[in-house]
Amino acid sequence: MIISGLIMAQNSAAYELGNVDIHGFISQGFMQSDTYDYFARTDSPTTSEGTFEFNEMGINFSSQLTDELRLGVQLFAMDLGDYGNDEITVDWAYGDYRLNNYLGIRAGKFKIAHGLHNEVKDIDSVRTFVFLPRAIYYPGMRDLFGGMKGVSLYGELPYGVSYQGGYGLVQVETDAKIVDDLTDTSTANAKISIYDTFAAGIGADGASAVLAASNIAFEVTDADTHNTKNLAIRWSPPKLDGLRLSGTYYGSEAEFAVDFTGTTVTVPDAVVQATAQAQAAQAAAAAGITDPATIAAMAAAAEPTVRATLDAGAGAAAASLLNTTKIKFNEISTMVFSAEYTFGNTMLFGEYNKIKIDAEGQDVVDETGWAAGASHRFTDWFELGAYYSDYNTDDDDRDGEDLEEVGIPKEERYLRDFCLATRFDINEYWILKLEGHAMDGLYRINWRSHTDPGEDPDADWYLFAAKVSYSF
Amino acid sequence: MCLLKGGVMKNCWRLGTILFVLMCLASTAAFAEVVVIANKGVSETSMTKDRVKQIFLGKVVKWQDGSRIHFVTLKGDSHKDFLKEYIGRSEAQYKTYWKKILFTGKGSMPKSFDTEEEMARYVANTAGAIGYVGTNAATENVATITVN
Repeated sequence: MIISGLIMAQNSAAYELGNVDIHGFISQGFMQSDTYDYFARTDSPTTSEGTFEFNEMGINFSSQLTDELRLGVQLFAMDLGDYGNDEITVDWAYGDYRLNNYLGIRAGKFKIAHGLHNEVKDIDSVRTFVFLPRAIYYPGMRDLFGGMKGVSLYGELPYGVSYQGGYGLVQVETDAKIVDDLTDTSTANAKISIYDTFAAGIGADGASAVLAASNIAFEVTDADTHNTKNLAIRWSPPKLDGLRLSGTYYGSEAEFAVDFTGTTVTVPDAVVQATAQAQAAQAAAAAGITDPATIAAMAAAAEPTVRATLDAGAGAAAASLLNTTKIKFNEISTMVFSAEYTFGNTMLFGEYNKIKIDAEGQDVVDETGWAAGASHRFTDWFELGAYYSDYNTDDDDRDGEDLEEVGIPKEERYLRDFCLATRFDINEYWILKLEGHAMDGLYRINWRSHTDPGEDPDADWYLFAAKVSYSF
Repeated sequence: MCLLKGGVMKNCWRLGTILFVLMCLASTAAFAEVVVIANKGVSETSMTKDRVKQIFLGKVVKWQDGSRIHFVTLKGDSHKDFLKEYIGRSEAQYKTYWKKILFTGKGSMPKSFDTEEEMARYVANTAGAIGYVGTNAATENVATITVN
């Protein structure tokens, strides 16, 4: 209501109440894909049908209390399909004490520096694109990358170098999007674990049959992060006007209380029979027995022992999961290296993102993303941009073969995106954007709701997005 | 195209020269000079272009004597010329830069004036203030900064 009232007067760049500056923004978007949902609930308007569940709004209040001290707070709400749902949150709220040009101190909740744009990724009016490259700026990681509570030091150094370093924690709730991602990943890992338990002994077909007969139940009951660190070093060389280089690091420990209650690992009778028959055939061949009836009798006699052995394996696999009560991440970290060059009305950029996920008791997972693009402002009111983004969730399994073995499409390993975007600056306060995405990959895409059972999903799909924004 | 006959060639050359000079004048006329001004209490009377840039990007916030820098901007052509000459950005790029600052809580939009008279009056009356005006503006109440 506050924002709506303030929008009525359009000729002010900001509002002031005494010494308090007020600024705000509101964006309303529309997105539609030709095939899959993108951050949309399946039981409500979904992206593949077109959805307006796509908006951001924020208002901030700030005041320069003294020459050194500044206080401010920004309230924020967003909706992206089933994510956010316009719940009002404190985006940032901190005190900023600037001792001198080289050193300042911030305390409170502040934005996390990750790549060039994470701190402003919710501000539609400061960039060309509706969606920033997913390889660097995944909307589903907002809970982990939005803001942190703690203390930060920052300042300007000679030769165009600036720094920003923070320490504290990130607050994550159990209904956070990242918890959904953890659920998907943990479920996939559980399936891989069950598959690997049986594949060596009974072969790929047998292991797949056990997996198909099993049920993975998983729930996160509590979330805690701590020891969160963030560092950004940026360099704008004085002799090379327009060039900006950046290196950011973000790392945190996290612990999630989990519950696998309801998980069952079941060995179907067909698997027992096939295994007993294979064992009998092998024993018969070694003994020189060729009579089919004799071999069949040997298989039948072996079944109870095979059943006992496989059930013991199933029990052990299930117990391993049921006894897992927490997932501890020794480290979730990212490093992003970025370069941006602006000359005239043209801007070129490239970013490289290296993610490390070190969960206790599991192999370290390295994920990689990169993006490159450009934009050009043709007139005061028209800008055109494009980028290519490539994200892969496991450097040791880039083609997704590990996923394919357990019945998950290999295309869930990656998401590649070619984006073409237009921006129209209607006036100083209003902008309109239209953009299209040609996607390749299914990472974090709800493809199951749009693919018939037994069919392979199509990894090539398209997304259209439009957005109107107002800021003051 | 000019042909080989001497008279025609000479006239073409003269016409080309006139057109070239007019283009240069047009380019010059499109880029009016601005002069950087500061409050007379500011001790730094000369600075590099890079320092001017650092000030107007909010990266440098204190003068060498530790007092706070208050930088202000103009609206209109002088602002565009100043940005082009000293900041190396267009008006849209400069505005985007400051929007990023204010929507992350790191600062406020620079104060902006409609006229050079208002700008000069503010700079004259505000300790630590720095701004800019066109070369034809009155600057007797402010200090002119030498930028090298």
